[in-house]
Amino acid sequence: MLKSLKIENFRSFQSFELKQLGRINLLVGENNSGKTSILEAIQLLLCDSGDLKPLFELLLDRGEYLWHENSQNSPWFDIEHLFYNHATTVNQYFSISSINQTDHTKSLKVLVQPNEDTNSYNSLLNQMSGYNLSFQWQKYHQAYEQMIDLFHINNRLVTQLKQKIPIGNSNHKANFVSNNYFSIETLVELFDRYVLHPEEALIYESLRIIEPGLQRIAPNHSRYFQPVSYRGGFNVLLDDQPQPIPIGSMGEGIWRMLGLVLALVDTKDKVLLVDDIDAGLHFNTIYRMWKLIWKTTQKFNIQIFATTHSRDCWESLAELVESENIDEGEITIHRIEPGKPNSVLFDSEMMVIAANQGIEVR
Amino acid sequence: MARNIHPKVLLVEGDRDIWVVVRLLEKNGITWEWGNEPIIQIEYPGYPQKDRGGKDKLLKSKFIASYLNQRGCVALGLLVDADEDASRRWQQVREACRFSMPNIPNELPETGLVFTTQNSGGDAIKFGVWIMPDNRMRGMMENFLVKLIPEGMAPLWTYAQEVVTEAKILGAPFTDAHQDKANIHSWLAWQDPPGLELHQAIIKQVFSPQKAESQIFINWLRDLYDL
Repeated sequence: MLKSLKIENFRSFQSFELKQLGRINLLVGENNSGKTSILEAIQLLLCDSGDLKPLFELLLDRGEYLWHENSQNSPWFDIEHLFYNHATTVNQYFSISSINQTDHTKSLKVLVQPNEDTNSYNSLLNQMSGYNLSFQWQKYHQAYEQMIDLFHINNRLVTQLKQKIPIGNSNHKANFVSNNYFSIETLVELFDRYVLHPEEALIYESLRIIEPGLQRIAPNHSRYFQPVSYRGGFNVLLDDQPQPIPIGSMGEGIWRMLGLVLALVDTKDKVLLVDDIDAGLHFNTIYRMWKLIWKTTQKFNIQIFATTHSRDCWESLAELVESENIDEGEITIHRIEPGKPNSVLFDSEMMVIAANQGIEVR
Repeated sequence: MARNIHPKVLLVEGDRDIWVVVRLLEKNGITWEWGNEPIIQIEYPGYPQKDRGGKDKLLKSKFIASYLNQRGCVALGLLVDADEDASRRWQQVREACRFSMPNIPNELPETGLVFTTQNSGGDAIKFGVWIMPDNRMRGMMENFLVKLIPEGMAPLWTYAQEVVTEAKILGAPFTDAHQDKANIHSWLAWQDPPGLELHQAIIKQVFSPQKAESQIFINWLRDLYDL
């Protein structure tokens, strides 16, 4: 579990620190305050196996790529936006570091440096890579470095990912649930991974929060099936229906809840990052969602960082703290404000006071 | 469910204190246009549910810290009764504040405390403390209002106190700690109309809100909230 996080020169943060992190951490703040950037920072810090696919996923998610006559089916990723003020010059860096429960520091420094590799020729662009982006992780006394070649297109520093991004992040210490996460392919693959496992009960429990009459759910494994829409790929059997119905015939909530619970069971002993956690959920289901999350994060040793804009979302979390009598350090709310050195913290006790007094935390 | 965020908040013990402060400010030319944003948002523990409030909830570290961390807060004040011992109350206030304001001064000035602190995000916030009646003496809001009894009414006030002492001898059941309260409510019983509430008595000039004795408190509010 991360106890604190420090970010420098990353996206909109020149220098920013979050302290007293708990097991569940809800990030609030205005639009464009940098909540998602904090999730990204944690994701990158925890890529310390050297696998940088999450980097490309987050650039994809934000549309930070460009197409070029020499793209050949794979976009060129524009890495400049990762840096404070979108500035990339030689020796420019951003850094992310954390302290965990046992007081060990883990850090990542990402640096633009001249490329001395003579094999860095890119035939598509007919260009030698002038620079690389060096990822330098340090934990305890170990150091690990991973470099990616950078090229110039239209005066921008770009890089390309050759292989397809696989589904699920099982090699990473953090799972990032963004809007793109809720694809039919991802959810079907994860469902197949946990069906007939003990975790299946949890999947049903969560879906019945949204639809109490849900009996069974099964992926559509017809050989002709192709995931062409946003929602689909599953059929659902309800108490009062003689025939299974496509999941898409039901509301957005059931789809989001399915994605969320699959992400949870796929995050054992890791960190779960969820952007806009209550999107698509009616306010009267949010409390039960938090209750399920609280139970699961303890059972599976998960630390969770989630963002929200809604009052119902944080007040429901405060309600959970009060009704379950949860210790003050376990659940936190952090308000993120641009240009500030620290987050504004509400621990469990303070969030209950804030909810009861009508104090605005967001 | 939307809440108007007010940057200037005064925390008090209960509902009654709100109205006394509002009327005192009004009578000193700081008027509240009802329907518009209040000049200061005055709240107490349990405020939204109209609970009883109380010192114990008010003087808790996390209660004060929660208000300090409220979005948009620029000034936060704490108004509390001294009761038996003003310096002991100040130590209690200081202890409750130290969690979120390690730099809170050691001493409470006679004119009330106003100092600049920070919330946990690093925003500068003006923080103030006033201990009723005057940051020095034992007592409460009632003792502060006693000082605002008009000059010409001094003999009646003396008489009210004598009557209460007499009543006590005759077996009136109020406790010694509430002697001041009994005095002022006896005094209020003989006004026109009898039995006004404290804040109504300010409007009716049963107390003189502009008397010099009230100005130190008014100035504390002016200073803290830039009124």
